[in-house]
Amino acid sequence: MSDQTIPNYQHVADGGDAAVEHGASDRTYVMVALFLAVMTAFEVATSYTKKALGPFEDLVLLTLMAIKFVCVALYFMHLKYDQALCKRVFFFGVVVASLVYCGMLATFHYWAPHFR
Amino acid sequence: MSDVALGHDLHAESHHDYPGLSPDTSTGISHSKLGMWIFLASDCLLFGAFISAYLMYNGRAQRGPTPSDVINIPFTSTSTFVLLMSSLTMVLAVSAAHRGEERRTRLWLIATAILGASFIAGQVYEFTTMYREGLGYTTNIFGSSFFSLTGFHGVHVTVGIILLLILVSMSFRGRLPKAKAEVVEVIGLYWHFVDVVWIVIFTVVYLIHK
Repeated sequence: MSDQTIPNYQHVADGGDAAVEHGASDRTYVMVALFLAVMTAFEVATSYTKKALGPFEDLVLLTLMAIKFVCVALYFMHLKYDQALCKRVFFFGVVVASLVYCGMLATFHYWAPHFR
Repeated sequence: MSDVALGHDLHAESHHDYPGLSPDTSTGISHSKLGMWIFLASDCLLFGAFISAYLMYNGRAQRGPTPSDVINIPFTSTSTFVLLMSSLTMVLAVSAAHRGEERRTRLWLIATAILGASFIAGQVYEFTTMYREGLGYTTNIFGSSFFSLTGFHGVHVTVGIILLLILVSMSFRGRLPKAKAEVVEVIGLYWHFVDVVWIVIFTVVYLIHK
């Protein structure tokens, strides 16, 4: 069994603190939540500055969305600390869904300039 | 300590000492937790279908209100903030459950359920307002795809609230000891998934395609 498989229990097995921390500390979770709140505020502000950002608005919004998504998945869903298999299963679903529906939208020429 | 020794030590310990680790399975992950992850992965496809359908049909309505006519960004931003904070209270509940702090677990679970209910109340208000402004489920193709997507998400949140209330009830009856912390964790995974799906919906539906 690799160390990567069970990282959050290693310090216990090594004779560390008996009080097992499942994932991060509560303080870390609060900081992540604050970060997510700030990101959301940025997103909303970005959606109101269409003229300033021009064609990059969607890219900025999608990037902020991806950062928030990964933060929740890694910290709140414990993927950062859990067994690697959990991460593989979940992101497999995310990637397959993204590819399938991007392909479907491409079939209907969604990405073509004349679509709208 | 070698990898093998580390694995051996953990397997030798009681399962209840390390609730997140299940030595009874070949993967080291309990069946309920792995089952939830597989369910969430498959649910990505379900939401992907609704989101892509919305993208396909948005802007193609022949009549009736359009997104920019009915979507209220400040209000939905507040709802989004509420749901994000519910993820924080949920993860704090999971953390408290793993520490065996039953009273604190119960408190955070109740807080999560209240925040989730507030989100649903906001969604009901949003739907009602849209209906009064002339956008029904069958008004146009935007209405159909919008209500299907956000309504389906709302159903997920409602199911999550029911699961949270069941956990609170179990806790009051003393049936949620430290050894059962994984039950809170598995329900927590579902709740966080509902949150990540909303992160996508909020950006794609409300901010980009408003």
